Amino acid sequence: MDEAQLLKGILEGCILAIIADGETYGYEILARLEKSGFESLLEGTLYPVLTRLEKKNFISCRKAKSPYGPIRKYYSITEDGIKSLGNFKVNYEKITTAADAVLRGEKDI
Amino acid sequence: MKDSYVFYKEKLNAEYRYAFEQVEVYVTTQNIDLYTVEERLGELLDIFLTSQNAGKPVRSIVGNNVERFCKTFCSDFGLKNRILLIFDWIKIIAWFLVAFSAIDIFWLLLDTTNTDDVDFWHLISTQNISCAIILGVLFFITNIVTRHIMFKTKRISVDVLNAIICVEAVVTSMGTFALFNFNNFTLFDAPTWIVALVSGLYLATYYPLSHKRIKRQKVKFSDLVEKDVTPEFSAAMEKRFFRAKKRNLRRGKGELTLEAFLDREEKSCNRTEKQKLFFRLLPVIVTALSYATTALTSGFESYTDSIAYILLMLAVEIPILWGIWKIVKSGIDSRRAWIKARRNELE
Repeated sequence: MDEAQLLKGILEGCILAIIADGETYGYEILARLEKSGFESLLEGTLYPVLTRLEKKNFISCRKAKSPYGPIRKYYSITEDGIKSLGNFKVNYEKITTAADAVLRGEKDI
Repeated sequence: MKDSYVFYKEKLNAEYRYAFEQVEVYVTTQNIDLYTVEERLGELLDIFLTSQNAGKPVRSIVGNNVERFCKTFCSDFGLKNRILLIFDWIKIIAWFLVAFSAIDIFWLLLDTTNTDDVDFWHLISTQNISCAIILGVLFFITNIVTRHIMFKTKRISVDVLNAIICVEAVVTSMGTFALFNFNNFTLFDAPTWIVALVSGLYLATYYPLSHKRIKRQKVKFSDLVEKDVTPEFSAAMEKRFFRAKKRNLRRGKGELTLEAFLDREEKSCNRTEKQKLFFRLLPVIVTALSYATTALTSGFESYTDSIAYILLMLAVEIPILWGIWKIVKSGIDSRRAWIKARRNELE
């Protein structure tokens, strides 16, 4: 199964979780994802996810000048985003528990 | 825009610059509204600069396949962005209609000085609507086709692409105008005042809404890309400071400190920078005045002559004034860089 397909379902939740820790910006989000193990899978997927989250009103952004010159967008989570993250964590827990049970079951066979 | 990402591209090293330019060409050929392009590329440039500063290779951001990165990067651009781009293009046609309506009304006013039989409300500008529609369609098609063809070319920069689009816009405008004027070709007739009113209303609505969309940020000029201060320039500024100090003492104003001199120079740079608007308006004002003078004295033999006169005047004045402004701006940037360097030394 394609890794990118698996990633599609959870990337939004993971990025929302990073933003929930505190106001952050694009490079910082990428660096944290990379540190956690999401490396070459990212390739441009960050921006569409951030746009989707903003459209759904799960995150808000403010613009300020970055130390390097261009305008930088700083993202923070909204009330709706916090609720959505809570739901995501519950669903993720449910799915991974079920998937673990199935896969462990296959191993046992 | 004052805070456009374009100002900061120079800060990228060769590896990052190459990758960024590839993404830039891809994004600008997606027929997406300019605001979204500016915002998205600005964000990407910030990430590139931060990553470069952290000593990471560009592959850590774009991966091994730049084209795949570009496709994912642009995957959320939808119909809304393309519709917004069409509104940007209609703005150009609206300006075209307003300009030709103004010329028609001017000729009408000229006629009324000779006769009393001219009816403003029934003045028909048959060239305007049909000419503008054909021009708009041609511009739309050439823009899309050129961008797609240029993207397939191995190595093309955004600056060259935009220059080609501008040349095409001028050629299609002149060609369309010649076609209509020499063949009396008409499609839709509409009174000039309606054409001017509708176009004017469109522009009056478009600009405030697009400004709200763009939300321009005010930028301190000292934060822009730093210009290198040459030793010769530095020596010239030191000499200027020395002369200003002597002048102050001569006038009994006390000793001029370096900080006070730097403040004065910065204010002078700010004042000179505001003259940019003057340089922009001057060609239009001079052309309008000379057109009016010629029309009222010797007059033009035909409509074509008057249009050719206007275009020729603008074609000569705009490059000259643009060149003068570039020289003035270069001086301002150098002075600001010197001011910033001296302030850093004082700290």
